[in-house]
Amino acid sequence: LLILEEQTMAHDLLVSRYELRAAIKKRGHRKYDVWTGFAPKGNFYFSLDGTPNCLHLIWMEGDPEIESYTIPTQIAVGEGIEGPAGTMPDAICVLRSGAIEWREVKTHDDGDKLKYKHSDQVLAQTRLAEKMGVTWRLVTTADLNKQALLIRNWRQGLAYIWAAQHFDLAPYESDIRCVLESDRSSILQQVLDAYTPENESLLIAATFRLVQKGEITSDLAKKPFGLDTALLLSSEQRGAK
Amino acid sequence: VTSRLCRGQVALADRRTWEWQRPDTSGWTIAQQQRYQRFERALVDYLANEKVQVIEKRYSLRISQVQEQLARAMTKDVKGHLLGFCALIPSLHVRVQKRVKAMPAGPNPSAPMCKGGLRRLLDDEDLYDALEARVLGADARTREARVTVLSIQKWLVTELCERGYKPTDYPFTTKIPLYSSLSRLLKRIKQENMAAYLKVYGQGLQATNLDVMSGKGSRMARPLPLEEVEIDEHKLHGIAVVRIMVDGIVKKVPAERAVGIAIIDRGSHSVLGAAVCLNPEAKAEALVEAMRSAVGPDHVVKLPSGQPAPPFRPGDFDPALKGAAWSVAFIDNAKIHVGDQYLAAAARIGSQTCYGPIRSWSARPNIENLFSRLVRGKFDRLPSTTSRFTDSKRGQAPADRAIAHEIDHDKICLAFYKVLGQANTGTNRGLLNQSPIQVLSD
Repeated sequence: LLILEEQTMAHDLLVSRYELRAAIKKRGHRKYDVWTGFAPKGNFYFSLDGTPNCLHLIWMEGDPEIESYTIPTQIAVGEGIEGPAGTMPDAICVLRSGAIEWREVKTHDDGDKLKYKHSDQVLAQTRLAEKMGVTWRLVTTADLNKQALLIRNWRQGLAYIWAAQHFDLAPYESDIRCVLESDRSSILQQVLDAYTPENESLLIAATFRLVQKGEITSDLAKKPFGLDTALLLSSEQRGAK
Repeated sequence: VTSRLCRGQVALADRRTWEWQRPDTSGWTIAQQQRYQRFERALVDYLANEKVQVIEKRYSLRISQVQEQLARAMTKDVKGHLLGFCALIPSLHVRVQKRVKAMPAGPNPSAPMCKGGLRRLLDDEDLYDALEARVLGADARTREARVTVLSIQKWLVTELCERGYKPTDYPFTTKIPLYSSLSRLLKRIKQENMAAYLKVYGQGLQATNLDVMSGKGSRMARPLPLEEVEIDEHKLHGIAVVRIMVDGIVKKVPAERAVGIAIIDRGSHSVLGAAVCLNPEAKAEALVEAMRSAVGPDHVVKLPSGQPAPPFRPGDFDPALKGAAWSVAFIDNAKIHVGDQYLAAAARIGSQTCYGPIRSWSARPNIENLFSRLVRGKFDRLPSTTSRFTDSKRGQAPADRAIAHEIDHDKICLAFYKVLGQANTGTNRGLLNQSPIQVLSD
């Protein structure tokens, strides 16, 4: 099973390399960045055009409200101003409440101006979303700016999780749960002190995984990540106990 | 005429200010003690080869004043001992000289006339302090979300117009626009008070960073240490000879170019790791080797001869800084950067990678600065094998000259690693005159 799993991962990595090279080739001389990395919540390797898209992905990774998400690759046909228009949202998110949200990422600050400028695309997407019974959301640079700290912290978090990809984090997750159950409001330092220092990186990776799963709530949106990051078992977990 | 003494004229043995005798200042007034302290520190800094400009600015003294006191400190008493700091008598007379320059006048004053004019104008009108407070956000009432030259210019023009300045008066008459003079002044105020500025606008600058990443504005704040790195390769435009054994005889043959690879941290400007690839083009193995040198706490960087390289990484100077990892790497679109080996290594670190657009060196300023410094400082002066000028009119053939210089791979690697070490240990103006290692240690 392990061999099979490793083979699948290697295959995924290989596919992502093709995507990356294709993205760089597609960019040509145009002035935007191409980002690549691993998205643990979505469990895929990404190759994204443009920094705002990447920041949005990190935000989605760290947003406790989002349970899962995908980056669509197929164009859906919606209804624009002048008839049918092909469109593709930048992300489709499944929220913890069960609702589905289509998201379109744009660099402009002013949403109204943006709607005017990209009216055909926006109109097609909103109509299509309405037809499919999902909500549609425009993510602008202003939205990303508001989440600057969370994104910065989760950048580190993703690095920890990705580096620990080939490790089984389940035992560490249960260790962390044990610490948090005994002491309801803890900081990261207390979790690390409870176990041997060799496993610090894996414990941190497991902590980020638990935050991602919604089992732990933290103050990553308010304070820079560090040893004093507050960790608290979520109400669902406490209720289950 | 007061005699003066330059530090170059003082013998090295006499420069040991920590051995100089000090006066008993307990009976002095506070003002006298403060004046004494100021001169004492200035003398210590001056003899420690601190820059003259820095001393003048730090202690508000002209260097001639310091030199006068140095001459007095160097005089010997009846026992033949140096007076040292005892020469700094309590009633030390300090003259404050202010050079007075007339304000620019006429319809189109020239650039030399205008030099420093804006500052003088602001001083005359008592507006400089208000301007400084506005730039640094010291006053909550006038603080803006973001300090822009345009908003400051609007405020200043309004103030000056209210005070009766006309379009025919300075600063509206110059060929140099007020905007650019003001921009320079603002930059200087920010640089001089960087700590205060970041304290107020630090959070805002984080947001600005995101704006910048999405292609807006200019970058103002730097990321945290060990968060973002820049990786790049540069051909070391030197020439190398290698010794080979042919039929039992050692022969020297010109080698191909070498390529240096470095990893530099954006937050602390420190060089985390490096490697030299002895090939005309960098190879993926060398790139991975450079990453390994940064990440591995016990990794030993070796010269081609097998000898250990001189210390250059932060971990070589401070064991607590051994082993670095980063969240994001900014690199260009070189072939080896999209290769399997690099991507596998990045996956092991967990680092996301940002591939900047082609010909966008400004997206990776730190590494480009480092390489330009490296190449200008060390490698361009070496003879080049790539030159086609081999005729006798232009002197000896480059390859022959290389052999004459005996520049082998070891020397090239040594030069490379030493420059990286200097970059890590030397002070950096962008880091508020701290060295990258100090920043990392903090």
